[in-house]
Order: sequence, then structure tokens, then C-alpha cells
Amino acid sequence: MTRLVIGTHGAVAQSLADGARFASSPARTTVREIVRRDRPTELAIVALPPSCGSLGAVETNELERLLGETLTAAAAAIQTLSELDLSTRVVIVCPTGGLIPDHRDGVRSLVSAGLVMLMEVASTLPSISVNAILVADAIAPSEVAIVANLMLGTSAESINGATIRMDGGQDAVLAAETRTEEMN
Amino acid sequence: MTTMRALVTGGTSGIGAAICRRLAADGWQIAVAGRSQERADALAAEISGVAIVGDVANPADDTVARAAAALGGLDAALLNAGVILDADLSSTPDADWDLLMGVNVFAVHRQARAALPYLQASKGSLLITASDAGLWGEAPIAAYSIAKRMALTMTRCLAAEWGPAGVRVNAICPGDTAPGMLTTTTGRRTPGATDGWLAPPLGTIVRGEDVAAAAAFLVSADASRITGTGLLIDAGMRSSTTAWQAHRGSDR
Repeated sequence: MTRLVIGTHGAVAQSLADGARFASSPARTTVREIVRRDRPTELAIVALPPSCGSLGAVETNELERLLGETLTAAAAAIQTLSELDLSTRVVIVCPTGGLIPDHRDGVRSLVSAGLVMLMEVASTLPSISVNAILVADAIAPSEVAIVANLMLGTSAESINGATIRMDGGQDAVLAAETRTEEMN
Repeated sequence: MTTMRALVTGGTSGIGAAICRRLAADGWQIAVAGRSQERADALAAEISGVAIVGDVANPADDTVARAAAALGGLDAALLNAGVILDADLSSTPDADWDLLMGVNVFAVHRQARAALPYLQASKGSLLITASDAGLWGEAPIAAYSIAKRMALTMTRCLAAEWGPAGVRVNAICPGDTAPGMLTTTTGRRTPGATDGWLAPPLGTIVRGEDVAAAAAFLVSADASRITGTGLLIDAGMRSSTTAWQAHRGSDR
């Protein structure tokens, strides 16, 4: 088994990279070189940048930069796996806003939404399994690593195209609280 | 009665042109925006609107400002310009990926921000053309699906962010539409041909005017309490994973 971890973003990436090759915030061309060199059987793409605020406030070129570091790099990595016809299990770790957006954290929500759809379309590629974990900032990296390791391993091969939200139920709680406030 | 003013990007063909015609018929004054001077001029003349020529992929494009200047403000900005690529993820060239993201995501973001002051002044609305492919992933048009999912997320975030300023933000999610990208994009199907399309449960494909009707509703006063929504116009195709089989054997 050869594991490759792509991403700069904090302790989650570090916890998954223990003993594995690690590529920090690579550009698209560099990602391809690394994947061709390492031919990973397990690929973790960690895209957990710090919050960049709302979409209305961010400059478009800053949005472009962040998407380049995350979505574009992730797509390039998966494209290269497909090109090499490798049997690789991939997990994408990204912020929770990809499913239920948080407008105050809109930039990360947008990035995450793109990564979730990347997971969906990439999971149809032959021989590659791709899943996504959506993580709230407060979740312990070690806990994320447990779930990521399950998805990267071969003990759950039927898991492909799946999304797991790790937020301790926070989004569900928020929805319930909002409803309660409305009712009051 | 005050005449409402709208900018429609990608307004010179397909769904965009249908939207321009529908809004004009509803009494709106329209800025028809697109890359082709000839097509923009022709449609603007047809509907007594104004033609704005520009390329939204250019970061320096000032279509929004020129449209607002020409119309004396904006009550709606319909960000409809888009590009598509028939390719799964593994066969999507970098240049095409960049173009799809540039037009379908970054240009929408840039133009939405540019339109905000005008929409805030008029308590108007923004309408983004997303796609049914943004709701469910479509592997044969992978980059397009990814971009349109982000367009939907942008819709929801901006709706929440700009709601307090009185600006509504919604999206339309057309399915296969004629005329639309399937029939008007070079290298795709024969223009106008819909032979071989999977028929949705309603047994009929979506027409450009169907999408235009949904767009006209969402920017109208009738939708004044609707924001952050993505309205699916697909004749039922996304109602089930095998929805196209629903009409088989029927007497339609």
C-alpha cells in the first residue's frame, strides 16, 4: 500500500500523512508529477483552508486562488490516477459547508461544494473509489483520521461516492434551533 | 407603471435569448449581453432593448456597468452566460477546465458583485442559470457539473448574505432544453435536433420558453418572498434515477 496525502491544511493532513508521502499545497502540474512518481493506492486530499469569509466580500481572484489550490489540484490528482489506470481509493476531506452552505463562511462552502461534486463525478471512473468527509473545524483530527482510514482501506470497498458529515450533529441542531425560534 | 430593467448575459442565443424575449413581452427593458455584436444587435432590435457586447470570461469585462448605464439602473441581473464541455473528468483538458470555471463560476461571482450596488438600490434580484447537472453529478459533463454545483452554492450563500439588503438571489436549473446548450453549442448535436433525447416523465423535452417562464417568475414581484432557491425545470427527469422510463408504454 502506498499512501499519498495532498494538502496543507493543518492537523488533519498531518494525522493522515503519518508514515506516508506528503505533498504540501501543490500546483496542478506538480500534483501530476507526484502521483505519477508515487502511484498511490491510497490518496487523501485534504482541503481545509482557514475561513476566508463570505462570497460577497471576497475578491474573485482570491476565490480563484483558493479553488486552484484545492479543487483544481484535487481534480488533477484524480485525473492522473485515471490516466495511469491505478486502483486507488481516494478520500477528499473538506469543510462542512459543501452540503449545507454557511454564508458567513461562503468561500469555503463554495470550495467544498465543488469538491463534493468532484467526488460524485469521479466515483464513476473505472477502478477508482472516491468518497468525501465534510469536517467541522471543531472536530479532532484524530477522529477524522479514523473515518478517513476506513474509507481509504479495502475493508469497505463498496463505499464509493459516499459523503460523511462530521460535525457532531451541529447542522441538524442548527436546523432544529432555527425552527424553534421560528415557532416562538 | 415603472418599467423594469434587466441585464441578461449570454442573452443572444438559446435560453438567454428566450429569457430576453419573455421579459420584453412582460414589459421589461432588456440589455442583451453577449460576445456577438451581430446577434446582440439583432435581438436588441427585435425586442427594443440595448445590445451590450462583451466577454464575461475577461476579468476586466464591464458588462454590468455598461448595462446599468444604458438602462439607468438594474432591477434584475440574469447571469446566464455559460460554457459546457462533453468530457468526463479524466478526459477534460486543463484549458477547458479553466474556461469552464472561468465562465461558469468566476465570471458569475465577479458579475454578481458588480451588480449588487444596482440591485441594492432597486431592491432587485439576481438570477443565476445553474443546471440540473449541478444537482446530480453527470459524469459525461464532469467539469460542467462541478461548476454548476458551485453556482448553486453561490446562489444560496449570496441569498443569505444579501437578503438583509433587500436583494433576492435565485437560480434556475434547466434540464435538456431546446434551444439550449445541447442544440446551440458548436460540435454538439445538430442545431435544433432533439432526436434521440431521453424523454422525461412528462414525455416532452423542455423548451427555451419554459425556462424563460421560470426565470420571468423568479425575477418578478410574484416571487418577492423567494430567495436562495434553485428551480428545476426538467419535465421530471430528476424525479427518479430512472425517470426517463416513466413515460414508456404510455398513450401520450
